[in-house]
Amino acid sequence: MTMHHKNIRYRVVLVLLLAVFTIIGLIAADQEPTGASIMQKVTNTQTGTSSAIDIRMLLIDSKGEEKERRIQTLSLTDNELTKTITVFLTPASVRNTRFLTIEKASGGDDQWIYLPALGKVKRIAATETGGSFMGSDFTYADMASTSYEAAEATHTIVRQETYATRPSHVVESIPLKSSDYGKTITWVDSERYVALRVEFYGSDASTLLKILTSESVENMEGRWLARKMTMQTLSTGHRTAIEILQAKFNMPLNPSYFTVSFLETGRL
Amino acid sequence: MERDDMKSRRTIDIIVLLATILLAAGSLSLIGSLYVDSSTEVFIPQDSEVFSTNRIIEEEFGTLDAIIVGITVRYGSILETEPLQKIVELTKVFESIDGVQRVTSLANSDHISGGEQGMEVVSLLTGTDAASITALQSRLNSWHQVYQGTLISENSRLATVIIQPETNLIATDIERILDTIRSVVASQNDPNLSFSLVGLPIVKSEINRSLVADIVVLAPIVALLILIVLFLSFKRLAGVLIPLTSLIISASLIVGIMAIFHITFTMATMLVPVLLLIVGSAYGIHVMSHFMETISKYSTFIEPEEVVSIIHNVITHNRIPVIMAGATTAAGFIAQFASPLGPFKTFGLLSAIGVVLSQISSLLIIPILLRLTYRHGIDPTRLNVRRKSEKKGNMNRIFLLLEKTATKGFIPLSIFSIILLLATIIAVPSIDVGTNMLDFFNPNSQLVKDTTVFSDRMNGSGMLTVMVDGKVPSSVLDPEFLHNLERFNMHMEELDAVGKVQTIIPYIKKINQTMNQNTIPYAAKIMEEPDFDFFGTGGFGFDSDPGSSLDDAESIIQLSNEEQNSSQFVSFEAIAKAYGEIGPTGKLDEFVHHVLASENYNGEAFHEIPTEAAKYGLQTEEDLQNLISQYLVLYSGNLNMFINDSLEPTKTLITLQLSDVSTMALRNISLEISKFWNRYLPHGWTYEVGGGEAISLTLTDLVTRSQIISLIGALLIVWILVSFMFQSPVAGLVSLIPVAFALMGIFSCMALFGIHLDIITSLLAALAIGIGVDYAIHFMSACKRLSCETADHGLATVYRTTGRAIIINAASVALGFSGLIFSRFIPIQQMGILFTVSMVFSGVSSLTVLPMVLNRFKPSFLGIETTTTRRASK
Repeated sequence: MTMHHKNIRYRVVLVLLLAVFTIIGLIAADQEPTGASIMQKVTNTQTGTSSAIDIRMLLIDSKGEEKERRIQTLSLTDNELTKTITVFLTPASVRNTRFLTIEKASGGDDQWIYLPALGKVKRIAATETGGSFMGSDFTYADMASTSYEAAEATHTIVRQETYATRPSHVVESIPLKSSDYGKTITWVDSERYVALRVEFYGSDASTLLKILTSESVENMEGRWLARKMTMQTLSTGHRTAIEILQAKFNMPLNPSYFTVSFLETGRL
Repeated sequence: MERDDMKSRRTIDIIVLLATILLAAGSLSLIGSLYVDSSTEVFIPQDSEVFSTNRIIEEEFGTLDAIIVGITVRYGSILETEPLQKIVELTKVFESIDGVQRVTSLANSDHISGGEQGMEVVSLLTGTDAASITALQSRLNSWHQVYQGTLISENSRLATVIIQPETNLIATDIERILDTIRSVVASQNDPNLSFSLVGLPIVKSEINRSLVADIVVLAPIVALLILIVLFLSFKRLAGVLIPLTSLIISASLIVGIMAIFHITFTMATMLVPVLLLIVGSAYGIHVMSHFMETISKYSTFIEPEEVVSIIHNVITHNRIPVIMAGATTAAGFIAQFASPLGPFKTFGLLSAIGVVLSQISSLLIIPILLRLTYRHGIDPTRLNVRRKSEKKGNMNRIFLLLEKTATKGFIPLSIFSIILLLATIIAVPSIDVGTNMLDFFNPNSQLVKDTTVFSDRMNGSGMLTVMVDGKVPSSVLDPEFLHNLERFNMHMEELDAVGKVQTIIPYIKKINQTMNQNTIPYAAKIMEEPDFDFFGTGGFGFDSDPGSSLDDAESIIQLSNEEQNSSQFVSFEAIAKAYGEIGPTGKLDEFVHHVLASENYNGEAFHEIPTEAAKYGLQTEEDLQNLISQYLVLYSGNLNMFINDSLEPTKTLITLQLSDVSTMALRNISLEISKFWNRYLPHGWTYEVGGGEAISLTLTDLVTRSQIISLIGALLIVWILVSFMFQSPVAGLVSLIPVAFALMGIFSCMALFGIHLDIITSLLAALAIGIGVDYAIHFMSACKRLSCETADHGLATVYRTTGRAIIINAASVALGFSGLIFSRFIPIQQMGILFTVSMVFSGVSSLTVLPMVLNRFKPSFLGIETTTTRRASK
């Protein structure tokens, strides 16, 4: 009995202490943002419990010739683990190719693909996430996120400046684990917490490889979002412009979408 | 008054001389700002087909020319911890070089394999511990078609790190990248590892580095040789220094002109200053020898005023001969202007300008230098006349022999000429044409050794690419085309010169295999799905689902087609069947493939280009094409060196790695390529051949054309000039006799010593014409001049006067050109040898065959008959 009471008392103290630290932390964060707190806010702005996004990609080569790709994605986040299903709409040859990614608590992703011409679902395991996504300048990893989360990298505020008329924090992120990039520098809108520009550096952390620029930052469904983004690969002059045609966030979403069965049949 | 005149003239002389020297020094100081481009590409017109093909290939598939770093282990194998760690380290270092687009090695390549339920894309190298190395070994073996000879040699002793620079880099960027790579490689000190650098960018860079260094060495050597000739001719310091100063001034001015007008310093144009030293020496020799001859006639002290008037007379008498000799030499250079090769035109123009500069220099600077040197007058007693006459005696014996040959040697000379002509006619077709840049280097040089080792152990470093354009999206994924592509691959690899053919085929086959493991057979018919749209209803799964428009019957897809292999044992039946299929001469890996395929072990039955729709539960070719497009979704990011779009490519690139890049091998390969694709390419499709070796091949054709054009051009110009000079077309033809001998000498020597007709040696013939014809002109005009006076002894007099000049002239040019054998570049060495040979042939023939012809046929342009008639009438 006493033991139980003691336990409860400890727990109350612990919770109170935690609350106090959190509040102090939050106040401190509010007063003096750190690189990590800024990047956390960027992540928070990007993710919700669920989302549906309709994307048009324009692949533009150095001569200005364009090719269009269209995809739709659904994602559902539960316990900080995200499941995503991506359906390819165009080009016609890959129409209805579906891609399911389930983030695992142990790290890494489970991935399945459904190829309509094969009529089967196949599991794919790729340790490499640096491959181009559908021939675009985005890698598979970039498609998941173009910035490192707070815990994934060491984030340092380099300076504050006005970028494209917006007040911005310039944050340098150096990943803790070896990654496709040795360093990223992100210009974060200091009011809206949207990444306005990201520079991606090679493994030596000094060779600039790609630049992502955001345009048309809009408030969609109560959150700030760059409706258009362009990723440019400097070595080839190739660019990919992404345009969000439609988006919905935090709506009820049937979890059955994120199953091998849906992947295979296209039916819930 | 006269003294004042002398004084003011001296002041003007000093000012002109100082100004000229300053100008020359200024010009020479610009040598550092010359734009050097050693590449053979500069020789090809920018609008030629091979360039546009290569540009398209570079734009669509990335850069063509890779820098390859080879890592060889002395003991053991590459597949051990230390060598692998080194490859990992070097890959990272090279990746971090600014301007490098892609680095490929064992350390960063992806491997596709069939996992339990599908496809796995993993790193080829996961670590350098024993377990990872074992895994690496097995991955390398399982897909040796892709790795062997590309990333690692068959015996596992040599591995490569392939570095591809970004496209559109300027030459200095490439040079910087190469310097970094060189210094990284040089800093390695593991005694068990040796490093080699190969690839076209390395070859080009080595030539660039050597080009300027080469001229810095060659120019003084040639100058020294000319100095020797001058000393032997004049035996006086002034006789050596004065003509040499004038030569150096004109050669320096040419360097200045090249720098100021941004004329690219190429393999051809680099020769201009050196050539000018040699060719221009003749003019100085003429002026100087006349001057020396005149003063040797004096026995008392020559006053300064007298010296000035002697110099004036010498220049007046020599102006026309020097200008005419220069005009014919310039004609040889100008003939290069008709060449299709850009640098040859520049070379022709520059050299012609240089010849004019040499003439001006001889006629302007030499008199100034003479006036200043002998400003206090000359004491002719100090000239050693006795020794000169002794030497004259020796020369006279030679002249007598020559005269005898010319007057009595009709039959032997004719026989010799006919034999030489026949030998040349037989030899010419056997002359190899081809400009392989590696052949420029000494066979013992590191670069040639490295490249040879690379060709032996790997698939070769020569590259030829074939770009097939199907014009419409996904066309090159057409199964029938891919099937033909595989046949092309096999056919080309059977050729000795082809080390390997790289195509997209192994990737498609591998993905097809891994996606079809444990799946036989396809029983279900795949139904059309409607257009998908998550946003169609807005309910996201809670009102109606997006697939609900499909009726139940349509949406059934056989789920039970994932069957386990029926047996883990290979049946005798399967072995017998496989043997029946491949026959007694089949290879082991083919046999194993057939056995495994019969049981679809690891999806082996699907290690193929999908061509039978039914086997895949599909109906049409288009379905199969879509299947391949969908495969590309999985891996296309890594295939941009083969296809120009990751999902629906219109073009595909085939890379042939060549172990033999001789012109004959290249022609044969290129013929096989056209034969195959002309037959198998669908209507409306096109193919183009590009790559570094395609440039060599184009260059070879251009060099041959250039040779023919410049040869005809030079002969024509010279013939016209001489005909005009003697007012007789026959004279023009006769003057070509020494030229014909020079050409016969050049071509038979090329055949005899296996010297290639390349971008350097092909310059030779036209120049030999321009220089060789001078001897004929000298000799013929002397004959014409003297035949009017003493017809009977005309020839002997001509030998003593002009003959001597021709011998000195030919000897100095031949000796000057022999200095080129000190070049680091083999073609330039060969040019030196051939030029020396041609000068000997034209010099000797102009003193034997030419006088023989003149003596026997007494052509009317010499005016001999007129003299005889005149005498008879007397």
